Amino acid sequence: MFETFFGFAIPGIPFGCTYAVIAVGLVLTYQATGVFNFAFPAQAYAASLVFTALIQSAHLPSWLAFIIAAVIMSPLLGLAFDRLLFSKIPNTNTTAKLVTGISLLVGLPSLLLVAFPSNYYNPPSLIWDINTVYLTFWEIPINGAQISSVVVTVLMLGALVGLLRFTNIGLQMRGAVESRRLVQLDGVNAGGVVAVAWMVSSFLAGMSGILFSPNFGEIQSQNYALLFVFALAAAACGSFRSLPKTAIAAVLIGIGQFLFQGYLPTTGFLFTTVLPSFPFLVLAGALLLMPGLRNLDSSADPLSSVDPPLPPTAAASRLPQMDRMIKIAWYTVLGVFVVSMLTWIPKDWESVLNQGLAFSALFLSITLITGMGGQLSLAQATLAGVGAFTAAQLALHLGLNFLIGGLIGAVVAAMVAVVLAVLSLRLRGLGLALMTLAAALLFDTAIFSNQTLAGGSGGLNIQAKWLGLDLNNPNGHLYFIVAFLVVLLITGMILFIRKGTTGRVLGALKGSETGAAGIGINLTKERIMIFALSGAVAGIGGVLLVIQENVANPQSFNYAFGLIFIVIVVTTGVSTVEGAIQGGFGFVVIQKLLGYAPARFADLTFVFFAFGALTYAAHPEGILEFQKRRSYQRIERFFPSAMKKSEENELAIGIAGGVSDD
Amino acid sequence: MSDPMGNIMEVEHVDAAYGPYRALFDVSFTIPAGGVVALIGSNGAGKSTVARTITGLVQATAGTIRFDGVDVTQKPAWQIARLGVASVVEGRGVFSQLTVEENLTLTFRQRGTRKELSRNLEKAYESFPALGERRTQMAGTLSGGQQRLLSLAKVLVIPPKLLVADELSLGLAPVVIDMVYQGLEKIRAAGTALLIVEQQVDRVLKISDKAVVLDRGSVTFEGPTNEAGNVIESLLARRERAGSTAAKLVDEAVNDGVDPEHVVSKLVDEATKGLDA
Ligand SMILES: Nc1ncnc2c1ncn2[C@@H]1O[C@H](COP(=O)(O)OP(=O)(O)O)[C@@H](O)[C@H]1O
Ligand SMILES: [Mg+2]
Repeated sequence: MFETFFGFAIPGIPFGCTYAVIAVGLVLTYQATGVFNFAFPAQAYAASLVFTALIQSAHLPSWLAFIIAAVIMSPLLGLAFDRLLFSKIPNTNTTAKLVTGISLLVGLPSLLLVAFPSNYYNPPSLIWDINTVYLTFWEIPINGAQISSVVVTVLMLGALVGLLRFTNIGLQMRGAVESRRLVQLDGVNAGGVVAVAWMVSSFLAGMSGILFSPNFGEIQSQNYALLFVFALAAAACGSFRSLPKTAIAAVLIGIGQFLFQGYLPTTGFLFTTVLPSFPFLVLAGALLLMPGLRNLDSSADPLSSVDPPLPPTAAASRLPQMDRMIKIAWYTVLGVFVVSMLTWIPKDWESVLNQGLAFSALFLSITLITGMGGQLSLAQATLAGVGAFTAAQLALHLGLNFLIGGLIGAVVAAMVAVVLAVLSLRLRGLGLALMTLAAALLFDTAIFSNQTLAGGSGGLNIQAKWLGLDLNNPNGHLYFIVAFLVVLLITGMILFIRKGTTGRVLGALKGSETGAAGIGINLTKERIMIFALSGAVAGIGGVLLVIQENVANPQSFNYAFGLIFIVIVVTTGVSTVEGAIQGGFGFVVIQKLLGYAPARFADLTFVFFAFGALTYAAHPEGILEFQKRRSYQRIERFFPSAMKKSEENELAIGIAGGVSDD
Repeated sequence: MSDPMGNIMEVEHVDAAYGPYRALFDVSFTIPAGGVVALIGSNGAGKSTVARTITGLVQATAGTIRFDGVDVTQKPAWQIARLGVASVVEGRGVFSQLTVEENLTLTFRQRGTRKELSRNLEKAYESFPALGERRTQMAGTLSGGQQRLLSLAKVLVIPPKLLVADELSLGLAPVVIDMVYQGLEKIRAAGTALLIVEQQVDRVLKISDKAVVLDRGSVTFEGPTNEAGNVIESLLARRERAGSTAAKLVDEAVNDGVDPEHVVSKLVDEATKGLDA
């Protein structure tokens, strides 16, 4: 009895330690730099890939490969992240920090795949060999990888706690998290301190990647993403603050996972559905219950009043003449597009552009929630999937027409979004992003992977009889017409809402909900409404997508796409309707074009957009939008009569000057 | 090694801006070595911007700032701090997520040596027993007054060459203000030059040798404190006038049931008129 228990529990410990190393590294970065580093698994992946490639392809000895990959490359990567990207983002700008991390998470592995096109199997062990049993406890064999997990975790935790608690630079790091300006007033080179923190934590990322890669048969970035989610759950249990609590939670999660796995009957619902969702449930639970996680972003810099206000958006600073010209240009493009689609465009390109329409619809849901609502949702792909599978199931079982089913699907997606919104009413910024990520993962494992609900790995094939109309006839234009009208309708709705009260309230208060609450404005209603709308639009986008692809495939809606979609829309402009539409078309067109290039470049689509999104901090309106504004300005220079009034630079100081004192 | 004129800091023709918004226009003044300068002006005049610019938090867009003979105009805040400028910022100037002792340690390790750390901590707790009782408390949980004392303790124990203090007494009880000013006297006796930013003029004028008056981002007076009287009088009078106008208008509005927005616009008119006068 005891033996069975330990037989189940003990193998969980090294796994828990794996999670702990990553979780602790994550918390360290967050505590020391104020950045919740979504790129952490990408860094771990990069290090283990380079390490293995150096040994297996360049035939270096493993110690040298370790020094190059973990001791040199990893910290340099972290340093580059900090110097080139994160140090330029104001510490209070949570969205920019998240988006930057996510684009690295998406872009770095894709870039590495281009650089290292071959597959690497059986990554080598660093210290103790995975195939050797060194110890046995209660007759349970313990291999080298398990020992190194435990040993490294204990050493690393000790070193880190020591660093943060007992050294001067640790103290400075903790000070710099709260306010880089304030530590500078004490003579601390805050930039340098933060850079050191990045290097230390990136070394940890690299080392954890190398240490644990032997547990996987092949080096793949998805494996690290999964580890990352376990680590997230543990870090959430430690409120993203306490290193020891995080480590303990990680080990307990590891043990719990193995205990459940051991004791649960292997055929039941619990085993097949709840167990794989275990870490996401822990993450969601911690986000909901741990009080420290509600105000993750609120430890505000006392010197943030030094920052100048945000500049006006591109559209706002356009000249009226310019506006008219752009409108005319848009209508012209639209007309040409419609006529071309109906006449001369070849079939394969028509289908690509049709897919672009479907993605445009889906991406408009991001315009709603992130551009207008100011909240980062990582679950938009999931909501699209909810819409799509609802429609597919209704057609399959009730024989309901797919278009009507699609509308019902949109309503269901909206309801899921509302549940998510209500659950996370008290979460903001990072907390909300993680909550939506947990939801996306939960749907992936519990619903989209379910054979009956989503058709398993092959998905559900769309049958012609479901589509009352002749919608998926490759020789007709009906799909195009329907999708086009739908996108037009959604666009119209968004523009209408933006002009209305809700839109203006949201626009005025975006990013300062605390401020709004302070003056007694309650945004709960607006927030739930925008979630619902965004869910419905995402659902419609999902339905359009599966009709176009002729299959409802769970893979098209998994959490990774939720991340990728954000990255795309942020690149093309999250605050404008054009942004989403350009994103939708850009995504499919670039993919199609890269299809003509050698296979190893297929993933470059993500790299393009990831690099675009990296500019989010500097150009929150979207890099494309920024470039557009620049070209408008160039055009405006040719129309001297229409020159802008010189900017109202001078400050109206002292309106309250004589009044408000004392 | 201050310059021949005996000034520890010289600010010459400095402009400063927050993004596109200009806040300082051609500001010039000097702080004598070991002297006490009062920087006064109404709310929004740019006092804090001056303090931020000379400590490096805001970059000057024109002009030069020299500290102790060194041109610090383009230097980052931490380098200026290392040259011997200490600063107490407006509002909360402590790390709320660190304990009282950690707050002090952070500063003392930077400005003093490691060996002297425990002696310096003792000194701080001696001068401010309230802090001694709360060593392990998170600074964010201290009262506003205690936080102010903590930021003062950080700079008082190891006297800098120049201390820039922004609205130290704002919102403090009179007893605490007394403590604060005693602290300032002490640090002045140790040879530190002081730039004291205040709206509450009576108090600061007693301890300062020199006053700089700021109005709408420009210096309108720089000279010995005793000659500043007239300028300050008029400043105070204007404030009073505007205050009573506001009160009168609000009263009227309440009586007449007038649309508040109307009152505000009238108020703004009045206030601006007061400024132009
Ligand atoms: N972060 C900022 N962005 C834009 N304007 C600012 C900022 N901080 C202050 N200002 C403006 O600069 C002017 C001077 O402000 P400040 O130096 O704080 O005045 P004071 O300290 O004398 O009250 C004010 O009009 C204020 O509105
Ligand atoms: Mg001020």
